[in-house]
Amino acid sequence: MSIVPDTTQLKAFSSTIPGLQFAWDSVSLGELKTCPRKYYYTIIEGWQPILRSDHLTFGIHYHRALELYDHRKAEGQSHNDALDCAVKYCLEETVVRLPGDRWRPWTSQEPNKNRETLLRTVVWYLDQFEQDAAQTIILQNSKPAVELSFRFEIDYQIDSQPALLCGHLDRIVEFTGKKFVLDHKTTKYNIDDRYFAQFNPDNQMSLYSLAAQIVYGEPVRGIIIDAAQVLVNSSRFLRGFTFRHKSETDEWLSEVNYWLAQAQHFAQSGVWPKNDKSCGFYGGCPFREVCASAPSFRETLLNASFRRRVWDPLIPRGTDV
Amino acid sequence: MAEDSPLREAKPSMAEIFQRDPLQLTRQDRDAIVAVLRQRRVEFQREEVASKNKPKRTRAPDGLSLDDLLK
Repeated sequence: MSIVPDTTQLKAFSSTIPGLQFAWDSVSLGELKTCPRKYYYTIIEGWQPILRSDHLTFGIHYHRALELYDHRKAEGQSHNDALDCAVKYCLEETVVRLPGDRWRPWTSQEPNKNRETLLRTVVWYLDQFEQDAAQTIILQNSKPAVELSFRFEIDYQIDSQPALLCGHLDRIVEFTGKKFVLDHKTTKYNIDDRYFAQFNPDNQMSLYSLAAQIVYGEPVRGIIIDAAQVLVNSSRFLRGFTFRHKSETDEWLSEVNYWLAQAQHFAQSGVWPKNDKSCGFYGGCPFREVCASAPSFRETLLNASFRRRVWDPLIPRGTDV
Repeated sequence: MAEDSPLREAKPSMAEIFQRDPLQLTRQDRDAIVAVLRQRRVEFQREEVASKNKPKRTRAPDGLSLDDLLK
């Protein structure tokens, strides 16, 4: 493997052991669980494909547009005014600005995830849930509980201090008198019981359940998953639920300790082995070609198709809790 | 179609609005987009209801022959 980058100056990493992460979010923990080598490339070396996937671009804009709507509604704006804010965002942020007042629209290779299907999905979702029984909680600071950044300490020690779990919750809502975390998902596949079954067990949902219980202070009943099936000519929405009993989140958390011990072992040995049973997941790992090449050629391939960025899960997005 | 044709749409179409710089779009332009999308949603919902109410075609059982009727 190449020389481990010096991560000791980064806030999310150990200050003494290069490559040992200190603050973990669901993305980095998920990458570690999927494949230690993928985790190393993505999180420690910070490689990202130069061409961002259309699914990821769509998901980011979809979340952001709905978040803007929720903020405007919480400020007292009407449905149509708040919706206009989301539409304006979708139109303005899905273009690339070029020199001299020129611009070009985001060109997607996915027929069901592009500018037009984004706008349609946002407008149809917000219209469908205009009179939603799930109401956003208003926090003590008068801000809506939307895109909440969280962090909390766990038992596992790194550099003689507790490691952190961190992340962002889309929304906390009150629904039928109980509190739920609400998360948005988009898919091109059919939304049915099998679709919702994939969220238990699920790394992200278990972390969100735990985070909501710890940072919100009150028991959260579960997680609402508002799923959008995005097709070429239409969008369908279905609301599903996933629940975690305290014994389940306790078990998940105790298993996190084992995973972090693994991460510590990988960092200390400087070896992040490939899990070659994960290469085909989710349409194929972006590093498949890199791992399939001779070790001496991998750096060249990475430089050709990827760019580096610093992974920092501690950067807050919306409201800190 | 000629510029002054009476058949020409009074309002710009969604495709035309999409061709414009989003920073130059007005609330009226965006409302026009929303109106088109809402209309499409109504049409989609109508189609969904119609397809759900459509009687299902019964399929003839496989492997039956006239001999089976005489048994």
